[in-house]
Amino acid sequence: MNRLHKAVLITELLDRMRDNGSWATAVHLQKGLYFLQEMRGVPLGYEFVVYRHGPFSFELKDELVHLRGKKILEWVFRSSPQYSPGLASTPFSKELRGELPNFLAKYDDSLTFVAENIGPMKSKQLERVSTAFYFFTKGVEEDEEVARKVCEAKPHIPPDEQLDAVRHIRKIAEKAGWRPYAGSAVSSVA
Amino acid sequence: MVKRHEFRDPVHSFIGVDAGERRVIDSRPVQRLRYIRQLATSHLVYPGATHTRFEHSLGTMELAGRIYDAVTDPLLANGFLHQALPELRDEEQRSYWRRVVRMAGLCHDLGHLPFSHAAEHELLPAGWSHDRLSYEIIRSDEMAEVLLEMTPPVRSEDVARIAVGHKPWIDKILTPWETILSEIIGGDAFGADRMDYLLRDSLHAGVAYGRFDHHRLIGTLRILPWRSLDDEDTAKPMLGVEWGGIQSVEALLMARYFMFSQVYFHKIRMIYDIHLIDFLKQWLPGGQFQPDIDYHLSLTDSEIITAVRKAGYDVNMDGHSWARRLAERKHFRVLDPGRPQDAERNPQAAEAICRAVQAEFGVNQVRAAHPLTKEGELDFPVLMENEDVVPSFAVSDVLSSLPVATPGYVYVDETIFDEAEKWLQKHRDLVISKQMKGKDEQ
Repeated sequence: MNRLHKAVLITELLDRMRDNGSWATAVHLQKGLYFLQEMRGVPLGYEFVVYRHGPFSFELKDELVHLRGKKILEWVFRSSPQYSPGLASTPFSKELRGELPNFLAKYDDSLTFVAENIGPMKSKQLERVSTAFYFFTKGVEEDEEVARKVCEAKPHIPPDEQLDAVRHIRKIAEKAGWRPYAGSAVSSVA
Repeated sequence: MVKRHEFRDPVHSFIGVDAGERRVIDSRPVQRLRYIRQLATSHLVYPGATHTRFEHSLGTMELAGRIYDAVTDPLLANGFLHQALPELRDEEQRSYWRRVVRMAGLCHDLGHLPFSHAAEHELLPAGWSHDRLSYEIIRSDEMAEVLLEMTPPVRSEDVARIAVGHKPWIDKILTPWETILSEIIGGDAFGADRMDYLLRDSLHAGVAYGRFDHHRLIGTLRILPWRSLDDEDTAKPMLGVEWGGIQSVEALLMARYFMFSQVYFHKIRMIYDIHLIDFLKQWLPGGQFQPDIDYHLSLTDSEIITAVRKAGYDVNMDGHSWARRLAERKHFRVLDPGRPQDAERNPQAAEAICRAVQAEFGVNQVRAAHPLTKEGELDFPVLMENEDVVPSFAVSDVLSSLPVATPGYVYVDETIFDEAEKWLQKHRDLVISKQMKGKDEQ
């Protein structure tokens, strides 16, 4: 997938997540794109590591900066000065998407699924469910073991609350049709 | 008595090391960095930019130690820090990790290929990078031995993880403490690596833009509790700055922008890098570098420069046509410098123009450079005078106004320049819009 195609998917997902109540900071968008790639199998080609707020891609971070530079994304500052800025798509990004309707249609279901199921989540929940799903993709099967591994990596999370988060994302993964298979972390659901 | 050694350094005046650190510096992988230029082919544009990864690595080690001392100062410790980072409570641990951080600073660039970044992306097998090579070299028997000889012994695995930070090919997830330490080395906003390269590159290139008050910045760095905007219950430790240091952060980030737009992304430097890659693809066996430690340690800029000079003057040698461009300064000319009005219609204008001109005049007559900008981390905590911790954007208007450099150059061989220029003038509009339409069919 080339940079233009990625830009189109990133901005479309961002808009749909916003429509579903996301605060749409870079953290939220990173998690949305993580699920789009890893749970729905959209081949964005980013490599994710477990970082401060859960799975995070440094290449994606650079891509988001690049998109701001190209005026495809922009910052949105909230009325309260105590908050970090969110991200929003620009009119230029809408023009680009208008030029690629067939490409977007191919991923419409996946975009909708992530926007509806992940978009409304707040940072705290996103960190827990995305880190749990990260361990799903690494082949850890039992919910209790996943929760234990997440809490080991993130000692600030209470174990019982993490187990709830594991079960929650398990249900979403099942709804998405996600299946782990040997040797790969990504299913091929488009 | 502990024996000390000192290096004279153009940026930090003196860099002091003890006997254990000196042995690591004297190791083969670190000494190799004396022969790897920091800025690849930039010296062909900025003649003074001939400094090496060796002096940058010493500088990164020095700054990493200073930052570590500033942010782990026991006088600044509080309940939050002791709970979030228990390592801070134990003086022995604090002392051990100081050694690790300095060694990580020294070793973070061991995996650089000849000519540093220039050749990395296209000439290593998939999945490999200079970071991964650094990680493997630090964990090699050769480095592990010399690190274990230090007092106290230093685990190479710790140094390797802190040197390269979070990476998908490292199995172990970094702890919050290791995350902070890795950010002291490679952090986007306050990392020792970035501080040193901006100061050092600007000094050697003779470009004043890279300067900022790093003494003030380091003196005001802190580990602060960071809360997400929609999760105020959870505080995580993150590198931030006291309110009094915000201007020095702004100066660093501005310096970074100027250095990228004026030096690292200089149009002629970029085409020289491309010519070098074209040469290496023909000169290297199999057209690639091998991710093998002994092979890697045997290659430096010196071997490549010798090969370029030989091939440049010998028509029978592999890569002659590209080597000649480097040896005789016959680089391609800028056909299109990236016009804002084109970028407003097609964000991949440079790629579109390059493909179209290649189709018209031949693949080897045209090249394009459109690097991805790396911006410093702009969203970090700031400690106010009343002890509140607020996001950086709340106290700095400069951060939200920082531009992002997104260059896109198209170059052609001088022999076709006039013809290509006329052709592009005639077809530019069509090229840009046609390329956009083609994308929807893929």
